[in-house]
Amino acid sequence: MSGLQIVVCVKFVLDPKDISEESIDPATGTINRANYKLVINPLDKHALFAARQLQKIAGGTVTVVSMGPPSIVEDLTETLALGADKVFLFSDPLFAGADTLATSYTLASGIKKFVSSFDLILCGARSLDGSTAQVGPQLAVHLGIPWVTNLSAFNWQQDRFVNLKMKLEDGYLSFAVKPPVLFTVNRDINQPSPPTLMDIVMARSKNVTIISAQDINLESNRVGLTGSPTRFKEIFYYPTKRKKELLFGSPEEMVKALFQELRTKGMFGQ
Amino acid sequence: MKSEIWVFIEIRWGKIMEVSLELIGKARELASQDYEVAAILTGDNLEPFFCPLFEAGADKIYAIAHPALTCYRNDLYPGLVTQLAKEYQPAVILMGATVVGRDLAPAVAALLNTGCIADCCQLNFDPQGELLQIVPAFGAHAMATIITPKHRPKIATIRPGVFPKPKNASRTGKIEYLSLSLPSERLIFQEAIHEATSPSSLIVASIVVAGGSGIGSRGGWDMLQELAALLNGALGGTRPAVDDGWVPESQMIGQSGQIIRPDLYIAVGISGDMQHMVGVQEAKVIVAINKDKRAPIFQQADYGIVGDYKVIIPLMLNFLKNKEEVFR
Ligand SMILES: Cc1cc2nc3c(=O)[nH]c(=O)nc-3n(C[C@H](O)[C@H](O)[C@H](O)COP(=O)(O)OP(=O)(O)OC[C@H]3O[C@@H](n4cnc5c(N)ncnc54)[C@H](O)[C@@H]3O)c2cc1C
Ligand SMILES: Nc1ncnc2c1ncn2[C@@H]1O[C@H](COP(=O)(O)O)[C@@H](O)[C@H]1O
Repeated sequence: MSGLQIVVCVKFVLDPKDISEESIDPATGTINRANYKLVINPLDKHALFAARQLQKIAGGTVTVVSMGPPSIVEDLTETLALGADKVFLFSDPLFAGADTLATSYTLASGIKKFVSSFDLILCGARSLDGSTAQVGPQLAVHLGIPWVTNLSAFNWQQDRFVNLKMKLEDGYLSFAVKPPVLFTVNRDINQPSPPTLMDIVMARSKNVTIISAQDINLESNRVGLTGSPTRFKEIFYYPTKRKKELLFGSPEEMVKALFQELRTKGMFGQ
Repeated sequence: MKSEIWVFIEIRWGKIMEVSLELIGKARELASQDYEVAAILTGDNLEPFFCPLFEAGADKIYAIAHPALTCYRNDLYPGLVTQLAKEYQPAVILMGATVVGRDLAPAVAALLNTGCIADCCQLNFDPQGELLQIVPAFGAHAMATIITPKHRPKIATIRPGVFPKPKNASRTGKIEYLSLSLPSERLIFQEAIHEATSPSSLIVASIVVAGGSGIGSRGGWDMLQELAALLNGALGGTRPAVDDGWVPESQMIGQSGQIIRPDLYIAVGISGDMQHMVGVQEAKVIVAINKDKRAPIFQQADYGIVGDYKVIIPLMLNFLKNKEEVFR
């Protein structure tokens, strides 16, 4: 076997530290990403590192795919230093406004076209900004392959993956499976190390390929906003039914006043 | 025939997950006279679950029994739910936003080519009968309403703990056993391990004291622990408090942790970020203690004390220890 064809799905997300009420457009509920520096979704770094480790054992190629605005092409070069051999950016105005169904359809169509015989697709278990955790399973459905989500550990043995540990809230399920398969990984999977100087130098000789809608065989009514069954309706700020009463006086007086108020509410009453 | 709202019933370690019963209750409320509530029950030995599902509000149970379905596996479950949905055309499918629900729901949505909204905190029908699916939005103090206007069924996962668990012992309903052909197995099942994590004490406590990144020292957390103990309550924390190792993950409150509904919630050294506050919306009374008078938490609390917790908490401890005298 000539090694494994590994695809890693990388999403560029807003850094939550940068987001405030003002960042959100009340009409669309979205944030104009062009105004912010985007970062690699943290779990996708774990996915990329897992790909790299697997490649060391099994050989093969690591391909990164990402759907996003053309502005991230520069940022994507970071994935080359982190172990990607090839990077494809699926970028087209037609893709804008995609929900998870349209995103996963677009990624699936792009992967089918540009990574013909993949063995493993890796995603983060969830993204920091969307945090739907839906793109992984939906991508697997579109590709018609089995999948395991929220993976904490896995092993490659000859021709199959074993001890695939799907982490639950209170335990885990474990599976084995032969490729092709898709995994979504959580942060227990590994501890990514930063790229070495050598990695950074090597990355300079590789580049990111931008792919537009017409380069991919896809049904244009299944991408972007048109292909998204879900619609944003409105954004609202949680109506607060709270009293918002600041207590005043010395610390002693405030504490006493607090307990008196609570007592009138029937707490510590007896 | 009335159209149906479905709830996928998650069975884990031989028990119905609480969130499934919560959703049956919510579905019953949403359904009113217009819809029927059906529970989708898959697994091996299903009879023991019928009663609790009817009591929680199900009108009907679709039961699919097979030994291969004992544990969740995504090579079988999504295909079955999809087959069933194609046949019975439900209007809505709800699932708990557990690891399992969040694996199953999007897959079923992709198979049916419909929308799926992750991690809802609230569900309502608007006057036109559109299902409003409400999710926390970004880092701000905002919620977003998402709809699935043209596709059916509308699929959503809902956070555990946001809806109460109803029980009406007199209710009963119809059971329909279905024998569907199982999809072919693509995963090889190895094992299922139940790690009995100590259940979060937050869920049952009627008073919860929580600390945030403003606490920052062993001594501070010891004080909070003492306060919680004196109040007969539980101690929780924000994400930074968990990340820094001051409180176990099971005690994290908020969007990615526990949703709680205590009588009294005391937030100490917590700024009041939306991701945290969604976890305490249902508290009857919220008290905030923060040294920064502009902290957003004061806009979301009933009573606020502006002050350093290192001064305030010892006074509270003192007060509680001498309660009798003080109130006299
Ligand atoms: C996708 C996502 C999910 C998240 N999920 C959750 C979640 O489930 N739960 C959660 O809690 N967070 C969650 N977060 C993180 C959340 O956004 C906030 O970062 C977090 O809640 C802030 O925690 P904090 O209030 O403890 O810290 P900070 O925001 O740093 O606030 C500390 C506060 O302490 C006050 N303070 C400092 N010293 C003192 C003192 N001596 N006395 C009194 N007050 C003092 C300060 O004035 C400040 O207001 C999530 C974030 C993301 C992006
Ligand atoms: N636009 C995208 N481009 C590439 N990968 C994506 C994209 N959106 C989501 N993913 C992948 O899907 C995972 C889960 O994302 P989400 O469903 O948004 O929580 C991410 O960690 C990525 O691996």
